[in-house]
Amino acid sequence: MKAFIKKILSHKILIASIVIFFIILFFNLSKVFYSCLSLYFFIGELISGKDCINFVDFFLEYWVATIYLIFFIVFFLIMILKKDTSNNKRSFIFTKRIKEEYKNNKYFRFSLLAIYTIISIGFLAPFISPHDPYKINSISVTKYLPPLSKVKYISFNEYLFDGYSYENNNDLSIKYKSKIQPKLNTFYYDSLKVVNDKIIFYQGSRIKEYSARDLNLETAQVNSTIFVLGTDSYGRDILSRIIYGTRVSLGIAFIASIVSLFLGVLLGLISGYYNRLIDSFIMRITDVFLAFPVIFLLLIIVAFWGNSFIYLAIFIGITTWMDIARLTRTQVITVKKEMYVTSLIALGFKPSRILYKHILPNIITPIIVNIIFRIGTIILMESALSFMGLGINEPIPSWGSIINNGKDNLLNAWWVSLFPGITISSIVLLFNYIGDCMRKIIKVR
Amino acid sequence: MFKYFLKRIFFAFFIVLGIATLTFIITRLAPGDPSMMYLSPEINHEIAKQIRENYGLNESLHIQYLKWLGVIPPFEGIVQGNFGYSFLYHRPVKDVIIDVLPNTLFLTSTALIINFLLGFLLGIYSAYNVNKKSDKIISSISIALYSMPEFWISLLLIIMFSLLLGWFPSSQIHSTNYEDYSFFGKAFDYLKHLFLPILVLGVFSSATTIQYMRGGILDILQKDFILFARMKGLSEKEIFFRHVLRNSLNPIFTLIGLYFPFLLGSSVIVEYVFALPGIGRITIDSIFARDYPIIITTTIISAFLVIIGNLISDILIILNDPRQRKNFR
Repeated sequence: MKAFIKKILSHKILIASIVIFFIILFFNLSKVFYSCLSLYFFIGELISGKDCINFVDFFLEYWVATIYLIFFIVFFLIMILKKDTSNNKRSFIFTKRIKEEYKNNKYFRFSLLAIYTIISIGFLAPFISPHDPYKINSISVTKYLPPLSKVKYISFNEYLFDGYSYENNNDLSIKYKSKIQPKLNTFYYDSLKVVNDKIIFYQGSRIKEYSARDLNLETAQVNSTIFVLGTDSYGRDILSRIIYGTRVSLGIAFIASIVSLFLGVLLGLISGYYNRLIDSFIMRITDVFLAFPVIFLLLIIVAFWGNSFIYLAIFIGITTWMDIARLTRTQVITVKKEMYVTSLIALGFKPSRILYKHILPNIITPIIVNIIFRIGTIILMESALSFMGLGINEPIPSWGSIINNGKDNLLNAWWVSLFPGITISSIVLLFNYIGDCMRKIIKVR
Repeated sequence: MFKYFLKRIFFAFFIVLGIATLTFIITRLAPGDPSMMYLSPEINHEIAKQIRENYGLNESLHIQYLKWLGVIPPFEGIVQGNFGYSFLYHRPVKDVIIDVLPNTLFLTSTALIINFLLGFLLGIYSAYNVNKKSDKIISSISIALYSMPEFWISLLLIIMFSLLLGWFPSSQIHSTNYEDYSFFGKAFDYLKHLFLPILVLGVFSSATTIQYMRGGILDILQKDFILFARMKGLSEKEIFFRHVLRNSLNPIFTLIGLYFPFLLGSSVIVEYVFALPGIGRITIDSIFARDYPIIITTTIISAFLVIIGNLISDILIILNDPRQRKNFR
């Protein structure tokens, strides 16, 4: 028993993340429950062939967050409880070296953990973010609030006409929507006065009057909230927008690097393996792409062909594959001279099989390391695009577009551009450091 | 070797043609055209048609392509040196470009020089003080700067130096009373406006140069011939200038070729933030306005600069290291 507890306690990080995940689960229990329920009904309706597109728009992020949360809790529990078999397992030399580095280098450990935390924050954004990143509410009070400013607000449940209730609604999507995000009329104010049957809000220079009959007075809740990193020109919370922006920025970076990895490796393998004609053709194409400044090409493509999430990722991938193709090509050319490839060719194996099964595993490590560096560059590129207004459309937040929002009022509202910039720089720094460590790990061999 | 360069220049033309064609395809196949800029959807279709006819956008794409190249009548294409007429500025593209090209060239070349000066000095310094405190400080600062987005650094510099301290202007390339200054006053004004952009492009991109220089020198310092030179009793200064420097320069010269596209790309962003009239700025404006002739011309120019950069770096490598000649055949 003692040994068992000791063994469990040796997984400090796993335990810490499980505890944190449980805390998040505990505070969002109803959200998790209703998103599970809505997912169940969504699948049911999908199977029975009903039109249920209105489900996806709102619930997708909640489903992803819930699945991420539950999957990782279960996964980590299994990891802790399973028997320790890592010693007698044969493992890839590269992973072994990474494990060694992980044990010895505390900065490497820290940056891996930080990246893991940031990815988790991105996935769990709807559970973690303190405010709604899209909601524009009572601008005259909430506009350009400095960090750590406290604002009073009063919120009413939305008025229900004739006993009409979301509870009894037949449309399941609306029912669960109201469960996850209760319909609230929220008013931020500086001070408040009740005269006869009127409520008067003093909001900065503005005065708003409401008749008491329009508001659901029984459900009134007076409270105050803190905007930790301040608000932008529309009164949206910067911290929430940064948290939500993680998904856009990192998501685009990962998908784009996978696209560019795929394209680069494919073209590099082909041009390295085959004879002169194909090789020189592909290399000339690479030269054409390399002669463009990447941001030029990207700007043109994105401006002309659209800027949705998936388009952006694919376009960034299409414009950044050249280095990887060149790297792969040189690697293939060196490996091709080795005995085993010659003998495979002599044995009459198909080129696709030789390339995929025998050459690729031998050359993939430096390419992976290159890709890790690339992620940092792609994050920078995406943020530059969003900064110039060509990234993902407003109001969906991305780090670059938050900085762009703060650009108009630099001196008086420095916090709007400062914090997303710090986020971008630190995450790129983390990726670069990890890439650097990986490069050292390869070089040791 | 001469033959090699001839071949390179020959291929360079094809690359430029390829880039122009690629840009043509990307821009023209996309939905929408410049006539949308001036018209709201309610306006008569006849007018939209008229505008398209004026710009020659009503013909089919392959004919437009050949006309733009200038190989079919009326023989007014890029082959004849005619880059077309800008929809946005209502001037010939050539004039628009000639107005702004010097700014971008000055910006990028000065930035390149500063970048390499800093890279040389700090790289050499940190290589000779390897693993000391100063080396570590230089490395960590340069890696941190390398990770920051340029536009954000530009914004921070604007906050610091133009809004708070008021030392440098935050945008534009001339002051409003530029015409009143004497010659030196004009030059000073120009430099003052370009100081922050050059700082961003030059200093903040020198991180890579510093690391390459440092790594190159450290590699060379471990070689046997350096040990031998020390054994002979040469002074450190002599060893450095005779043996270390020339050997470690090759990767740096390769970097020059890579820096041209990088600096041009960064200058797009910097020109956007500082509102400087340059190639990048007019490219962005014309991208938003769908001004095809300008977009294609600027991409051709940038490709041209990139190719020239690569040629320069090759020539520098050969001049520096005659052993490399066998690679350039």
